Amino acid sequence: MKSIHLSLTVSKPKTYPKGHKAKSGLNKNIFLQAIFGFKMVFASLISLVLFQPISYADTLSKQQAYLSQAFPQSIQSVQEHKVWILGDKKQAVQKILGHPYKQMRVGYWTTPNTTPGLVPFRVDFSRRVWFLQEIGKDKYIDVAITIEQGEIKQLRVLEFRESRGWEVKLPFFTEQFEQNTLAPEPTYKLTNKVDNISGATLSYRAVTKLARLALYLDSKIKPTTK
Amino acid sequence: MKTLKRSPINIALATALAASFFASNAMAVSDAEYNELKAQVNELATQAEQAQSSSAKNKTTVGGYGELHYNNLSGTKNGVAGANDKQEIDFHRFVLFFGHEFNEKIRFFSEVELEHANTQQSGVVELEQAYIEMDLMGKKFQNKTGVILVPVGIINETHEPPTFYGVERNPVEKNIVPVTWYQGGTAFNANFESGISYDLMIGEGLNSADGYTVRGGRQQVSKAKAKSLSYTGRVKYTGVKGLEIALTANFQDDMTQGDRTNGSAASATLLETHAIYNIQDFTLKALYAQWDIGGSNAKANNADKQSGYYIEPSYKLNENWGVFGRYNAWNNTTDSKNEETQMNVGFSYWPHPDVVFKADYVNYKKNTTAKNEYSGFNLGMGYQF
Repeated sequence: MKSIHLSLTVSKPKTYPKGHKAKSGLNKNIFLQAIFGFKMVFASLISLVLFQPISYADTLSKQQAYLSQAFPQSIQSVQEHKVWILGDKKQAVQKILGHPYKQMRVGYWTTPNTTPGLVPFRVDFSRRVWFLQEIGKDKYIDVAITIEQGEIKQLRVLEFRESRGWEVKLPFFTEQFEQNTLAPEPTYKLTNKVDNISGATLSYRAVTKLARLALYLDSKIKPTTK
Repeated sequence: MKTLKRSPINIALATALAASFFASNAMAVSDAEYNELKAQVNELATQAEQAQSSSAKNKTTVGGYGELHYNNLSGTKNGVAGANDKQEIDFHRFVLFFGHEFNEKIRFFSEVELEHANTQQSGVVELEQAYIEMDLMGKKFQNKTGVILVPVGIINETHEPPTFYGVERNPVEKNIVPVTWYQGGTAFNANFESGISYDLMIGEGLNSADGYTVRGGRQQVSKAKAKSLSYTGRVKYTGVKGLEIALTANFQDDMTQGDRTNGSAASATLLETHAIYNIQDFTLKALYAQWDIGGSNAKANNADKQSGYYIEPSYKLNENWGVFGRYNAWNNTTDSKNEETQMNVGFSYWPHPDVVFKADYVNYKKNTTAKNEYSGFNLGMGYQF
């Protein structure tokens, strides 16, 4: 909803042709202002101020925002860990992606699974968030994947840079990854089929590969202990 | 043999000796050294990753696609048997993409195409795309300026061989739309989370001296006459799993670009709509397109209305194999005698998702009084990267 609000707000001036029409748009605002007091103007200004930083957010702050909602109870204790893609992992990653991963280490975010005291209060102790990148056609697609006990809890496309295939950001697509797990070697396929999107095949393929990669790497992590 | 007394001093001595022994053998590296080494390796990895992500090489990308066709067709043209025969091998398209990312918001993309392999023979080199794309308003809008594909139809923008069925592209989009249709101009695009997207584009128009030839009127951004510009708008909905519905309208006030040799100004309006429905491994594509062309010469030549449609069911047997059928009907005139139909059935084999081998059977007919038809088969190889 946020994004729709934003686009409506900021696209309004765009719909007016230059010069004369823009002026009439301004007059219209003044007219509305007279009727509704300052409410309309304020609402527009506030939505501009509120939504602008979110929409211009860089990759890091998008990751931060994702982590906040992935670890609502324990965001303070979330830490980044790295897993090295070496040996068997290197071969498996090659098999999943069709090429080596862009980096030799992949970061994941999690909370320590041992909490002080006897009762494990935290529900998200085995939850891990992976931020991964893969090229669709010729640009990186940034994906965030939350995994809990070998199962995808959530998948979101944080950044999409390609000219086509943006539909992979839509909920009907990303929701298909939820509850998905990984079939064992040698296929490393998703256990529930994710349907392709017509006209977005390359993006579909990239995101699906990342889901498989995240599930695979997650299966290789030993529980973190303090 | 003298035995060692188990006095506290002796035990302490033995423990100290054992500790120093193990420390000097099993732990050749101290904890501090080990941790430092670990930190050094991690730092090295971080630096390598940073160097990799900031390298200019990553920001410039290369891609491409291509397709080789073999046609084996035989038929009759205007009553002359054999005149529609075609046994031909053609490297139809060899395409290279070059892209560059200037920053997170500004990108360049291009597509250079060599058609029919050799410019000394039947070949031609085309610049089909070359544009700067900018994200506006926090990525809610994109603007493209340069040589841009017109947002119309199913295969105009997505035409890499592994993405469509049939060796040759469908004749309806080729003869009516007409693909590949690109213009020099500027375009705005916006996508919404509801699954609705829209495109607005202004570019060079068609230029047909006769005032009705659509495909031959494409100027391909080569010193294109820009007296009468072309305006395109598209609305697309992809908000439901497996469904795509789109409607494109294109308008130009005079496709003769002011040439009055053959009559009055020829305004031209294209309406195109299509739907794609995908349920599990079954896909159904349907497209309809029509031109309404004004002006005296279009009317005089029965070309004031040109339209066509096709319907294409396909089924993916598994990851590697898919079968399809396609029925195409189109007419570049209002005279039913010129109606053309083509039926295709065939399959695609993908040994890799980006590599395809295709085969299809073709049956073509034109409604003319004199016999006009051909049939036969096509084989093809295609790739993209």
